[in-house]
Amino acid sequence: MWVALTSNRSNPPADGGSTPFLPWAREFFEKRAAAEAAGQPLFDPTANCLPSGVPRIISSPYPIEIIQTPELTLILTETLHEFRMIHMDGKPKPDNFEPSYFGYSVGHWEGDTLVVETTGLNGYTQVDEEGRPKSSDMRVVERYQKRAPNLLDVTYTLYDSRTYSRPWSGHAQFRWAPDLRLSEYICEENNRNKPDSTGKLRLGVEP
Amino acid sequence: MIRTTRVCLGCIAVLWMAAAQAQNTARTTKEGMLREMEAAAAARAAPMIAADKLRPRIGGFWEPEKSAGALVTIDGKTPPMTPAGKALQRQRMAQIRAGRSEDPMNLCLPPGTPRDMLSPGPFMIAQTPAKITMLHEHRHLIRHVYLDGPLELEEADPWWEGHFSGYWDGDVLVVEAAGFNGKQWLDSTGLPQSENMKVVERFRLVGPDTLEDRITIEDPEFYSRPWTARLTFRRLPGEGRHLVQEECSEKLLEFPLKAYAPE
Repeated sequence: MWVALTSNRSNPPADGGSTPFLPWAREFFEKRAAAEAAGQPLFDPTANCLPSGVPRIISSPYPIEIIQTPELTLILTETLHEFRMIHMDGKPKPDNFEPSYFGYSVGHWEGDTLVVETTGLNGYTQVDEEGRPKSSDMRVVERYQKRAPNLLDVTYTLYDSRTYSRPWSGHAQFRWAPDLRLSEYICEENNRNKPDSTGKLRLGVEP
Repeated sequence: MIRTTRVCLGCIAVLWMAAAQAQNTARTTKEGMLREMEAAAAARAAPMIAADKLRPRIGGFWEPEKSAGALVTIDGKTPPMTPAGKALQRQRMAQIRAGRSEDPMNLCLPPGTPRDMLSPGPFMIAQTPAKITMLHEHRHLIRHVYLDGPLELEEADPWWEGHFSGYWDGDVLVVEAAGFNGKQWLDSTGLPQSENMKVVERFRLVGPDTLEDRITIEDPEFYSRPWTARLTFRRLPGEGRHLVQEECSEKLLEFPLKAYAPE
């Protein structure tokens, strides 16, 4: 059990550099920022109880649970009670894999670091809430390493030449919480922010 | 909050660390204390790991042997209902026939217990010494069964899924659940549940590749006596199998999702 120490609000490159947007991606990002500043936020699947996908899920502020079996590493997220299956059998993604929110993940150990490579993502989700986009070509390489017995570091590198001019990396961190349990998380009881066909939200919240 | 009478594992770790600290001042660094915490966790896991080696292997992938319709008793009969239970189910069936079903499943809410076991499609059981975790494609449902039973709920937030606790009774995995919010239906015919419902499931292998789940429902508000249903699951080859969550909420959107990037 691990408690998140990071958040998915804004995940620019962890080295402090600027995000290497391609033109369409910069336009997308700036349009979202302007709409939000004007109090008219644009559609984001996570506001409608859909998964935030890889890599955004790893910087979700809610706890995660990691279960290791010989064949699989499972990452369970309190957010939307989702789970990721990381295949440890060394075999690549099947050819007929349909793109999905969490894609197909293959993992292996490099010393004490779990390296997870994910492809087959559906491109419906963003890298963060602020609005760094991605394409369905994105390949994500995550490196999980215990920096201390109670501290898990995750560095993720994003390879997406349809969206960014070069690969770049983000960072998330978790603190060990052995006695914690994942809570029930029901988004659908509060699923009121229906977007219209232009992507604008009709905020179903009482003033 | 769940309050239980279980031993506070965190407290044991703290006492362990305190004792270690008194013995050896060289261990007072934060790093040293954390190493002790890890050692304490390993020590309390050791007997669970030893016991787990003797258990039947129910871990892996499973699917229902037949698609489930209405939940019935083990001898194929309608559950024994109270007048209040019958009235509520009749009202729900009338709404379904009138085309205005109020089934919480239509709003993508969690199936709850035991309806999660009526889910179509495959699920995975992750069998670990301290916990059984069931992961379903359908509604990306996760059941967390901590092997610390019997269940001792003094006070719990009412949950759709309920709160689980399990233990091994010989070759049978007993899963107890309570602490429900009473809103979900037990099946698609609108069998009701109250907040006071208790569910006990007994999982066992009835063949090398067949898993049986005997589900006993106790809920005096809607059922005149406890009753038991029986479901069976067939094992699926695990090699390379990948579960992809069904994202029900896509169906609630008023337009199809599309990728952000231009083609």
